[in-house]
Amino acid sequence: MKVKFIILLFAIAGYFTSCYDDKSNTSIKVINPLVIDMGGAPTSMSAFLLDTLEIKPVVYKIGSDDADLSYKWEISGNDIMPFVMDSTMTLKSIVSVAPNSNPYTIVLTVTDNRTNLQNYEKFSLSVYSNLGKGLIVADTRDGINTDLNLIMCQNFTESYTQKFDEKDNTILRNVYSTPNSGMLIEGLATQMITSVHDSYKRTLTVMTDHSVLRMDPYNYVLEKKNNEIFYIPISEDRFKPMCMMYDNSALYELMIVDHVVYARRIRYGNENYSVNLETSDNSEYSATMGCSIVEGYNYTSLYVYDELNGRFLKCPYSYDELQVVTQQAGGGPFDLNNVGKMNALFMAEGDANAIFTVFETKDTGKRYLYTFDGGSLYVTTSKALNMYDLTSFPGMMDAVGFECSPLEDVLYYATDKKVYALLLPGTNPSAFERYSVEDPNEKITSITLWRKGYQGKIKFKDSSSDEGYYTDWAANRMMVIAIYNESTKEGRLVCVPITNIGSGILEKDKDYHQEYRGFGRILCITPQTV
Amino acid sequence: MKTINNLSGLLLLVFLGIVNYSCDQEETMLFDTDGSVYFTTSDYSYSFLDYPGKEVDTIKCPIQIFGKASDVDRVVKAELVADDTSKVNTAPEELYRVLDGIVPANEQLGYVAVELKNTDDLKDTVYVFHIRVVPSDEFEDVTYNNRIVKIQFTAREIQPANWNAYLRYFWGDYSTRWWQFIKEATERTSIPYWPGNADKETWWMSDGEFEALQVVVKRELKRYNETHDTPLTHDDGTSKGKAVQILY
Repeated sequence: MKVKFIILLFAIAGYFTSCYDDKSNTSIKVINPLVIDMGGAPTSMSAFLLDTLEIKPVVYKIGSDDADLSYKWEISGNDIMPFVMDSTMTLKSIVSVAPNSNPYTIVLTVTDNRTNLQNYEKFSLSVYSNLGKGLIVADTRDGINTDLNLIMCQNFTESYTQKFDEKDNTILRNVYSTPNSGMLIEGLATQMITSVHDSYKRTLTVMTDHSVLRMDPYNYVLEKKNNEIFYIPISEDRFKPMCMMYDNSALYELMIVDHVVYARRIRYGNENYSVNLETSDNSEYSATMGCSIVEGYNYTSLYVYDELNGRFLKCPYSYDELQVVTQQAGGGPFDLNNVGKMNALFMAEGDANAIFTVFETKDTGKRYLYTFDGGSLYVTTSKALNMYDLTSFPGMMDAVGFECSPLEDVLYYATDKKVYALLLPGTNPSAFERYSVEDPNEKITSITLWRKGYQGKIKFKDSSSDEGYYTDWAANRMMVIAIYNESTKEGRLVCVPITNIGSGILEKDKDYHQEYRGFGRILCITPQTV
Repeated sequence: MKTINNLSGLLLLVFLGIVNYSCDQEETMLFDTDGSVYFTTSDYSYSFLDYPGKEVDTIKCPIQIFGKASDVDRVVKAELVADDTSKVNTAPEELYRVLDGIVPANEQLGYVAVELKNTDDLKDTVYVFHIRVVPSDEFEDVTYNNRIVKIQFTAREIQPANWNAYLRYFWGDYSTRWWQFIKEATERTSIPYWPGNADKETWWMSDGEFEALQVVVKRELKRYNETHDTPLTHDDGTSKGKAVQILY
């Protein structure tokens, strides 16, 4: 009886204890989590190309003050090769990816180096462009490769809303290499042009002596190169770009490659150059230089200089050939179809739409200025106007740059130390020194007249006004001088107002000179007008 | 008297009322009938020679609508023309298949797809068959224009599909010698220029590029004629025996 009771007792005890919870596999050690705390800041953001983007999360491991963490901020999306933007807790990096209507993804990966535990935070970045109109500056810091820079400021940008003050100028440096994964333009840029027709494709074309690059100045991402912008390919040994020209009335760009002229219609977004142009009389030619007509709507004709025959060839509005020039009866100071054995150094639109050409004789002994009226779409004949022997003017045989203006009968020229204005009217033209560099280490490398209308303004000194100056459009009234300091290796631009139209007078008061500094050796500049 | 006055008054009133009512400005009639669809070409030729390695390919015969565009894709149906004695179909049935065509939403242009198969016979044969558009749910009346497309396919040299549609307006009649000359002058194996054809993948060439090629052909022809005793002559086709002429 008692045994049965004891057995029952054991059974009851067993019953109560048999369903004992096995806690052996719940002896978990809790690992302290990694926390990425954005503090309420949004994870979706936007920035401009070339802005500095900062994202500041607070990252910590709970319960551990001295956590050993590493960070990786990686950006991807829109067909780019993903890359790491930063490796510290706070992201601070220049936005170098091209603007796109779809946002990019940035992923922050935090790793606890002791446990290999990771945590992630995802961000969405929309990139916009504020690369607008202004001045594009091509420079070199190593003498071998080129990079581009964009200046947006009162002098170069249309209706720029910032105050006319040095500290409000925007200079975006390395505007080519940054969105192109750090790659520079191989070689030294010789010329650049921007163009567009209505709202069709914007283009910026950059030329070196052996290559041509094409990009959208909205983002500077390289799009096409060399033969990709020619419908009929040019052989590699002849791919030697020499000069680019622009016709603002017919909307054509021209390029001279190894002495042959190619034309590109800009209308309706056509991107490429067509087959080479031949002369109207089927004769051989060897073009070396041409002029542009960048403003004006009176259909003034463009010209190229044919060194082989010592003649000018006219570009018709249809750009389907190079026309042999028909001159007005009555002769003139020279024959447009036979100027002799000359090398063209400079060609541009000068006073009253005349074409100004600076020549040097083949033996480099003398320099001349030839001016002629080139006619237009409606006036088919041309007329030689004047011929000036430039040789004896001060510094002329050492001149590194020339310029002229549609508004004045003046030839500007620069040595590496001074800028002169040669006043042409009358029987005895005279040259006057208008600007000089004082620093013995500095050299003038080029002079360029700002010709673009309704884009860019400049202050003119005016003692009769309350503020001492007035502001006006810079077109044909601003000389942009490029200077290089051999010892500091710094290039800079100086914008000088042309005060008296007709006398080539550059403002002497340096308070009215606008300066842009911090470049390498400046190779060439062009207005960004699209 | 009074009655006549009243009557005239009433009549005048009625008259004015009718005048007002009857002289409504007539509204310009908008296009109101159902739309239709038709082929924009009467022939389409394809050669497997242009696409080495392909055993099956799909050609797209261009069509155009008249009437309003729709905001949804519309299906177009086509069939083999088997009941017309003037249109002889020599192609074996197993080598081709007429598929459905489409006019994409908001578009005026579309295509009818036809699948073609390659075979050894094609190396020295040109097979022919004809298709026409037939009524479908979305296009009930297809009698406008009533074009029949003669489709030729082969693996030999053949007049390109865009010759009659476009190239002939610049380069005149087709002949094997002339087409070969054009290809040699431009250093190309085809000239895929067909503005207005919705198939932009096959016919991708821009106006600018074609214009450049025109000039190249013109210059090469001039050079050829200046350096040979006889000018370049068509060796077959409609202008066999005649000198090649550039039209434009």
